[in-house]
Amino acid sequence: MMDEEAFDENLRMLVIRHDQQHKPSFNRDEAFSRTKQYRQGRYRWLAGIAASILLVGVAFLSRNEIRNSTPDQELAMTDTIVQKIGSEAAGLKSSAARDIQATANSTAEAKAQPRANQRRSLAERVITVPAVSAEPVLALDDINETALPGTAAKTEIALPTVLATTATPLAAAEDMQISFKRGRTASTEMAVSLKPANRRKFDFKKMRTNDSSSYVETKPFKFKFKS
Amino acid sequence: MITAEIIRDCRKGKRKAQQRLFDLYADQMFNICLRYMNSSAEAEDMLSQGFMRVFNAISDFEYRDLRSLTAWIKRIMVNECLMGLRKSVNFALVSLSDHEEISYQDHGLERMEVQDILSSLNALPVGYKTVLSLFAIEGYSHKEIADALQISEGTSRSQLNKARKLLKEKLDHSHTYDGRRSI
Repeated sequence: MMDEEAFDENLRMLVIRHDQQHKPSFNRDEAFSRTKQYRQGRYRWLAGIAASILLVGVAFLSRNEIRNSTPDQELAMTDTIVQKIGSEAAGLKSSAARDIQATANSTAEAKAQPRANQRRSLAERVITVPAVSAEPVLALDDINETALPGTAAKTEIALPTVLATTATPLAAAEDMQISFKRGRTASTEMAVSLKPANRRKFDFKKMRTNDSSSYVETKPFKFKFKS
Repeated sequence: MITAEIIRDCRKGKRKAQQRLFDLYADQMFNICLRYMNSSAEAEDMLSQGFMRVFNAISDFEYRDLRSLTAWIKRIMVNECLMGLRKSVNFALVSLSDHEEISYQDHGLERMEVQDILSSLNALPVGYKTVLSLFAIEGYSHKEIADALQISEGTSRSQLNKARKLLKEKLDHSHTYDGRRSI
């Protein structure tokens, strides 16, 4: 074992002395310049990664902005069209113009509501369609005759019949109670008590544009004309 | 000479200070790389990569004296060479035969030419040469060699014994053939 250690020690001393004294021939400048190239390469990689992350972030944000701005643009365009129709129709002082003005006013109310509820009524949509196609305002009279029959007496329109009854629908009863006796499934007793349900009263102020009852129980709108 | 100022400038990334550090250690470290790698081109690559690692890590190095700096750079170079070797050599694929008793009496290494010894050392298989260099020259323990080369300690011992035996045979043969002397 001692001989092995002596062998290793001699070998070590010889090699270390050789490493310190021997001058090898190699391209020093190139070897040193490659240390700089390696460093630059590393920074180039880092810069590339940072730039790609930045691009992805900007693209993601811009896509979200485009998606959010589209419904607002449509809404603003519709409002502009309706207001334009209203202003033109006011000059005509006709029945059709009154209806249009009423639609414009209801649109202003709808704008005050949250964005999710800003759906236009059917009547409003009917009115806005000819304006988009740039037809004369006078042509709206024909459309309004069918859409709002109370404004014109030219043609008779059969309105859908509304059943007015005091009987409470079974499905609308809120206080239905069903009881079962425990352990006697064969002779199950069922007691059903029917109370007159609270019929939902129509409130014009709380009316939503997608509420179907608004077509049945709409109160006549009183217009105010400027003197 | 290396001063604390050069080390400080190297930490700041100043190229002139790096050049001075490189010039001081390039020859010695190239010899070390050449002992582990198969060609001078590979050794040059390892030298560049090793100094790149030195320049990057010198901010974490606590400079005490020249000796500690030399040992630190040497360690980095050896590790860089081992990493390069591991890509091409599987050190675990070496037979674990029992080690034979060899007489090392009067080996006469000190009376031999250094170039002959290094030539014989370079002529050894890569696994033998690496383990012998790490153990006998760099002073690694068998555990450190096993960790560095990802082999077992038994494999490290076996390769070391085989390397010694083979090196002695080569030295005997070369000197007997040359007619100078036999060890």
